[in-house]
Amino acid sequence: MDFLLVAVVKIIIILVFISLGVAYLTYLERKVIGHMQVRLGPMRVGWHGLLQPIADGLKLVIKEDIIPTQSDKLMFILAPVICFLHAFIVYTFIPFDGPGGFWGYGGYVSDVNVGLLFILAVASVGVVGIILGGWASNSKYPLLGSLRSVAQLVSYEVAMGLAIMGPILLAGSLSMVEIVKAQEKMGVWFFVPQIVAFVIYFICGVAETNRAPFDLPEAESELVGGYHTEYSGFRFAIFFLAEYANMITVSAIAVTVFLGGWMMPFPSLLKPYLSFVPGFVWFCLKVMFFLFVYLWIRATFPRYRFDQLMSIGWKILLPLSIANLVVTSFIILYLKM
Amino acid sequence: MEILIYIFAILSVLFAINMLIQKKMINVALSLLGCMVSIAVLFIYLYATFVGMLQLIVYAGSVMVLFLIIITLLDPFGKIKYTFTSRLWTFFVSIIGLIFGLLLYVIYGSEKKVEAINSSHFSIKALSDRLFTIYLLPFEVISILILVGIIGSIYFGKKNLTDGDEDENNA
Repeated sequence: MDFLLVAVVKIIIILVFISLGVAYLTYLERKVIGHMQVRLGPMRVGWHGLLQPIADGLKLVIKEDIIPTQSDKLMFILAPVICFLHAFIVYTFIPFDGPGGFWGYGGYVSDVNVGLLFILAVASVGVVGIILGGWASNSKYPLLGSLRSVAQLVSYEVAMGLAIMGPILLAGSLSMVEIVKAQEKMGVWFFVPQIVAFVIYFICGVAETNRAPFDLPEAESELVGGYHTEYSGFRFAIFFLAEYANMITVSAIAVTVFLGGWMMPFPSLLKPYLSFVPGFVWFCLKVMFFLFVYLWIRATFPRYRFDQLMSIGWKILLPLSIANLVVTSFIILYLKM
Repeated sequence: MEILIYIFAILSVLFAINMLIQKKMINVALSLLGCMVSIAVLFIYLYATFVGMLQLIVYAGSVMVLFLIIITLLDPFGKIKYTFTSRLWTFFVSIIGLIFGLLLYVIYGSEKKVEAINSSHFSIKALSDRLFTIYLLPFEVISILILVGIIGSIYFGKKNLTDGDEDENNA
């Protein structure tokens, strides 16, 4: 029973933590992009607009919730739930800290031997929520948005999965904790020997989360808002939450697989001074770095055309990731012989 | 924990039945999805986590997403309602009965027992050891089969495409 209690407490902590993180990610996005465009961003609600996400959340919750009369009601209600569920279920397997972290309780809810595979599986099922949302609205723009979104997600998932295979080969395990431990053992984070896979993964991650410059499914100037155009109030907030939670997920996987998870950088140099810093602080710092790069990219690059998007995915990233996989396996085979 | 196995076994059967009696295509597809996910959960409870994950990725993920794309493309506003005629019913029931009978025969009837990987310490290594030694030939033959399928679908797709272009030129 103790085991169950610990797991439940951890799940609640992670749920609250991620939801707050998402709320303040929107604040960060507006602030960072504001400053990059020489504006101030939100300033009115609280000190330097610090309470803005809470005000936004309250507004969304008390807004009228509209379900279009011509929509498929059941599917319309189900779609945000599916999206939310899949965005949050993956946090079960993300190690925020090592086995000794969180004061000895272990810095993750669960560690199974197919953790990374499970995350990919859940992500691939999560697409269903987007299709349903677009389809059930019974309207042009959401339908087009969801079709675009699905085409993009399906094609970039392939390259992403193949890119992750490189580090898995190096670690020899699919468990997230084992992958971090393998990096500790090797003495170097996997983004150094697997730099190609890292770059491919990050590009695919941006595309997977429908962020600029791959934000065609939600292009405001073309599609109003993509698959969630007809959604309002709380249901829209759930879609929004799921999308930003996905951003954090992609960053967290990148940190775990390529950037040494909860380990501190330059251990030989920093260990004497910073050994009191718990692992999840390092983890969060690395995730925040990734999130900042996301926003930076959004403020820098214009949107791709759809044919460009498809040709990047299928003609450049996919062959590159396959080549990376083949080369990595040959090198590992050679070293073992 | 055993009660969960029963819950998901019953759920998978219920979803499968629901799939047969639903009229709307999207409900049919979602019932199939529910069935796939329940089966994946059953696999995980039998310690075959890897197979469960494959079930999720391949069937619940890719195949279902393709089904849903096709449904949204062919029936964007949910107008099509389809009904099973009694002839179709007999056709499908006989096919399913045949497959089920074959399955029962393989499991109970034949002399040779089906060899199973000891599932209590199931690992990806054990699976791939068998896949790339004993079952290498069937594995590779299946990949050729899939390739043939892909080429066939491209052929059909292209054929329709050129027909359409010719029509435009004629007009």
